[in-house]
Amino acid sequence: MIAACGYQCLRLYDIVNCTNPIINYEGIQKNITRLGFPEDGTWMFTGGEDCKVRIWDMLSQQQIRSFDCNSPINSVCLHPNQVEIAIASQSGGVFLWNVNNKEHEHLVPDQNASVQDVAISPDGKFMAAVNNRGRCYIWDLKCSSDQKLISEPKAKKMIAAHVRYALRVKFSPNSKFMVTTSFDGTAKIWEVPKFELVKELKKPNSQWVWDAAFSLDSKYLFTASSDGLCRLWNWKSQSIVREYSGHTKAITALSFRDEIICEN
Amino acid sequence: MATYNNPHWLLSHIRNSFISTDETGMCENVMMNQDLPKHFLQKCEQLELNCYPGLDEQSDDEDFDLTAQSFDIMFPEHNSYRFRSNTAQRLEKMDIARKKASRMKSIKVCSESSNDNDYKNFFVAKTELVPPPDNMKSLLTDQLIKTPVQPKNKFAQYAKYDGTSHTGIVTKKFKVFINMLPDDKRSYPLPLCVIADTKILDIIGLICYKCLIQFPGLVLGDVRNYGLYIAEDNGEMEALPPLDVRESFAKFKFSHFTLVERRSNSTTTSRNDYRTMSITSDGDYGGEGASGTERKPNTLNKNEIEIQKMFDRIEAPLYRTYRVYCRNFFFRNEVQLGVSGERIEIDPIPQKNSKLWKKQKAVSYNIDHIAFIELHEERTSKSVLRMWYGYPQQTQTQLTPNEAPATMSVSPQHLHSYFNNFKYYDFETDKITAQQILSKINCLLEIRSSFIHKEFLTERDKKKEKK
Repeated sequence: MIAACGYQCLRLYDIVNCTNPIINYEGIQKNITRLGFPEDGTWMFTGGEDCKVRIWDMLSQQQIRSFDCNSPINSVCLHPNQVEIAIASQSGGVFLWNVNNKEHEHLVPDQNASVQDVAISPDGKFMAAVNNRGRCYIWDLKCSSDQKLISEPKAKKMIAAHVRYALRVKFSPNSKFMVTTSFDGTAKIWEVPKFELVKELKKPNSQWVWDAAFSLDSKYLFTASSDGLCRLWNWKSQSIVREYSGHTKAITALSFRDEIICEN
Repeated sequence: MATYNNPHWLLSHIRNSFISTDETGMCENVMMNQDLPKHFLQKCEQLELNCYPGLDEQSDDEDFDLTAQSFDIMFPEHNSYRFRSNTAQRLEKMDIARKKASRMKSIKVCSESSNDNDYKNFFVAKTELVPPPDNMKSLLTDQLIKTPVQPKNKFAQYAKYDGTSHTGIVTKKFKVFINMLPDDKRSYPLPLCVIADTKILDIIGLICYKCLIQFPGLVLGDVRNYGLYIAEDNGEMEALPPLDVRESFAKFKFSHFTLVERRSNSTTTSRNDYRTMSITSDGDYGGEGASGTERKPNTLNKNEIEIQKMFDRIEAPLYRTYRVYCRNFFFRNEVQLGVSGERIEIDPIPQKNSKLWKKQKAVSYNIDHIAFIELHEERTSKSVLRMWYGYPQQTQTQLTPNEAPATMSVSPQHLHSYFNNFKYYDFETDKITAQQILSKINCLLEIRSSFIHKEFLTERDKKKEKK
């Protein structure tokens, strides 16, 4: 099953026969900006410009939780502990919401900027958020002593990752690197936990880089950009290994599934 | 938001927003005369990226606009079918929509979440996070190592015009015969599906792209070296010139086309260029060097020569003009030489300082009165063509006043009589144009095989024998 969201709609498709949606959510007033599933796929979370994050039971297709953050939502990310959700809002706030007990933490790194994307490292140690000023904020996520939240965010570092407008932040599967993409046509790789710049991927005259995805061994990186091309980089050597063309308009999101084949 | 980094889209969007939201109509009045997006496009015509797809084709000419046609008007493929009524079509559409709806489940989005207590133990926190092993190998890496070097398709930029990967866009399906393929593969057309409003040049690029995928050994040149011709369903070409590369493909409602390598017909393509772009290698090379003195041997094969000859014949009756110099003893006058299947016209081009000389009048000759054309002089930079013409004795009285005999008296100095009944013009031009004129007129003479042409040949042979 594949889920798609967008302009005032949310639909679920059968991945084998994608022509018609099998489930359509009616009555959505605003754009849905992000959706996702936990590892076991029992529920789905969606976030949109109606300021709400909603949790759906995939079995009964009922909405079971919702969280209002009073500002349009740009991005939603699920903590690897499968219970906490990080939310990036246009008002500049980052929320960490515990779905289970409905408690939340509100962090405001920069009041006058819209947070474009938020990510949590697969090892659950860091949370990163980028805003439309090109800044990237890092929080340490430590195990909390009180039962309010499982992880307690503690501001760690601010990096001026890009000159302006950052679009995406993601951690590599091994949690050792972080990538930020921006409208300046670059994708920058940062080393974790020091958060220092390792490599900058840029093609001359390239346009906005919207999204990026690491391979499972973190050696390769896919980037999606406005020129309608998806590129596969060997990011350590900063070389383009493959270029995928075919889109007539900008590619704004991509997702990649990889498999472990052997352990050396 | 994906469109925000496109200046053309942004300009259009701002303009349209102003016009559509202003109820007083003031914005429209002010902006009507200044179409900034259009100006922007004209300014950076070279940069294709700046143009937002679909926005630039806002032509006022609705005849060519595929979307301008009402959706209620449907043309059957064969005329024998009766038009279905609109009601029947609408009923069918409703039926399809109903069937689709029955397969789709709809869920109402409500503001309040329900049954909260049932889900108390629904979310289970994962306490141990297992990181992926350090020295593992991913499937992607493995596959990349297995296929390290992938030949890059140089036509990859045209892949986006493929219509199969799009939904909700008008596409067109057709079949194309590839003339550059070896004989045994040439008769099977390549099926293609493209986005309807693609330009012909991009279609050619897409065909080249698909060709390289299917026939990796094929050597293809630049897209501009190929022409797309309308063809029969058996691959036979229609006697029409190639489609204009700037045209939109949506205009042409044909099912079969042929892709053929163009003759180099402009001075921008050097002669050597198109020779080395030799195409298929069916092993039939060599031995063709004699066919042209300056042709490189071993780069042309029989097929190519045949194709070229065929094109010369097809294109010969089409009207074309050339700018050449007409030699007149010591002077050279620039003239426009117009060659068509019916007649040859010589129009003097007015010069600024031509007051001193008697103005030359325009002349036109029926093609049947042209006797012969030959390469009279050949130098590195220019060539001189000699065009013989005459008029049969018996038809002289029937000629119309503006034809040969009447106009011959215009500038008698530059007409020399060599043979009894034949006179000639000398035209000076560059090498490539000379070759083109020569082959075009020779083809015409061959097709017409007029009395004067034959007479000239016999007379020339006689002279040679006497010598």
